[in-house]
Amino acid sequence: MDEREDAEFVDYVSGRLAGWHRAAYALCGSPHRADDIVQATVTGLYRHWLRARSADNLDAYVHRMLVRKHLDEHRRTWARERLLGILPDRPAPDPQPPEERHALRVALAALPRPQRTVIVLRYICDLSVDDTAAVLRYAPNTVKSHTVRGLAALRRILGDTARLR
Amino acid sequence: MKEDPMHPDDDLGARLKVLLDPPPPGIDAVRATATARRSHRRRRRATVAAAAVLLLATGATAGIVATGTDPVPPAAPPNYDRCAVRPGAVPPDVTVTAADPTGTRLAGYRVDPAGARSAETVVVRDGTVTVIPAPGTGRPGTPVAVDRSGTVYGWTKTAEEIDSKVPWVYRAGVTRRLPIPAGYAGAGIDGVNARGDVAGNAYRRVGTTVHQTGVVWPAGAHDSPVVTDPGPEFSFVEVAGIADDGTLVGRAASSPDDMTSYTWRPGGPARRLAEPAGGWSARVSGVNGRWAFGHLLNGAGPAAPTRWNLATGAVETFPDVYPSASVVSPDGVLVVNDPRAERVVVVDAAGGVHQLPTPGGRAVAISTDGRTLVGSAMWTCV
Repeated sequence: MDEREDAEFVDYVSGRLAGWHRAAYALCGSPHRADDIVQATVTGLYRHWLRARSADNLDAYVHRMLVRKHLDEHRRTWARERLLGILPDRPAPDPQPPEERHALRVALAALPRPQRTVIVLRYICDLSVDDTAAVLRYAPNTVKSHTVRGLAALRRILGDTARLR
Repeated sequence: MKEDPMHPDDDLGARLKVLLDPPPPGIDAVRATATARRSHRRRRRATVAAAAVLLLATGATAGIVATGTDPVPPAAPPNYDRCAVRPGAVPPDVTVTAADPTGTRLAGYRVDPAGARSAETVVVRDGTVTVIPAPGTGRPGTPVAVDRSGTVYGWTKTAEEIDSKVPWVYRAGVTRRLPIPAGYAGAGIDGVNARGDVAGNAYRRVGTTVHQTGVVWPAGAHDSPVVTDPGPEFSFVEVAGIADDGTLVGRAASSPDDMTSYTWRPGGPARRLAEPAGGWSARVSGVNGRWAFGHLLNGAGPAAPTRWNLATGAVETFPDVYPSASVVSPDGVLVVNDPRAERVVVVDAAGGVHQLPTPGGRAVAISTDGRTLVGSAMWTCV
């Protein structure tokens, strides 16, 4: 990668890093692990940048990488925790968490992984049904059903939809 | 964009982003790219090296292409601004002098309540202390290295003089002395590499002067020590460590007042380590993987921690950091003990300087992955 390509890469990452971090945080529930997931995504993207930048939908490509890095990071964290007996890296409870934010984090963490991933891509990353389907390699109807079930489960777990309106 | 005929009224979904409100990222685009760049270079070098090994192993001369298609990403490097002390991992009455490559098996010696060194040599695991037998009645041993299997390597002085050093290995409850080369009175261990080669120095007395030279106890042949020096022109040799390929690092000279830092292979020629700009010399103190470390010496004494990349020959000094480098990781992370601030300072692979949290101001070992540091405390870094 020459200097111009390197600068182009930094520009691209600069514009999107906060959004990737938000998505990673929604997926894993920990700001530190979200940093690791984003770093792994940036590292993987850097390796393939010259090819990836000409992709038809670069953002979808990166979102797919991010979801995969999340799964990789999850597996690695489990292996490490079992080996060393260190407590899992759960988000520390805020001393005085805003009620809605805390409730949402708990509710997201309680969703089955496919539903959580679909909800995050659609509503945190603002992807369409088709783009979400492309990222996860699901059929569009599968994305729709996970969306409906995920939102319903969120409402059920939260117990009070009025709280979120 | 988000039309969804099955669920047109998803007020909840629309509010998720606002409600999530995550903390700001701990990384930025420039730093994340710098880390990615380093990882990419390391990976490329590893791929080339693996291809070379494959060629050698198979004897093939054509048709092998290094594709580098492994999809598993390397783990992100440790963030030394995010380290925490692990309570209870290092008992207060133990001075740790070595740790295994994972940072979980520690070795050292016991200190009494007044802080004086006792005669007990110990290993520590998960905060539990076990006393191990070490040669030399009434004198403490000094563990120098612990390998992945928990074998401890160290030395004990059986008298005040340096040539009374006895090298030993503790394995599975039994301590065994290593043989001292013929013609020498004593020997100490100064480094052990990943394959089990043990390196140190052997001592003999000529009149009132103690002469020393390098010695290697090769892996699989610890009973047959080999005396080694960088060449016949050197009368004084001091081994500081041994790299994983058997390369020794240390200092040598024809007079003890003019010691210069070298690397050499047993029987091979010596290569002078690069000297930092400015006309001053640098003293090498040890090696780990392909990195050696030490400090720059100016006219007044130690002036800056220093590291050498043995693969490229490049040298770096860090004049803004206290000149007391303690250890280096296989990735070049330099660990410095700053007694003025009573803090451990880490110089990361990119040259970034970080202070580890207190309590604990002395680190003597860093795990292979760079995430665990051990000394007066145990630090884990994410």
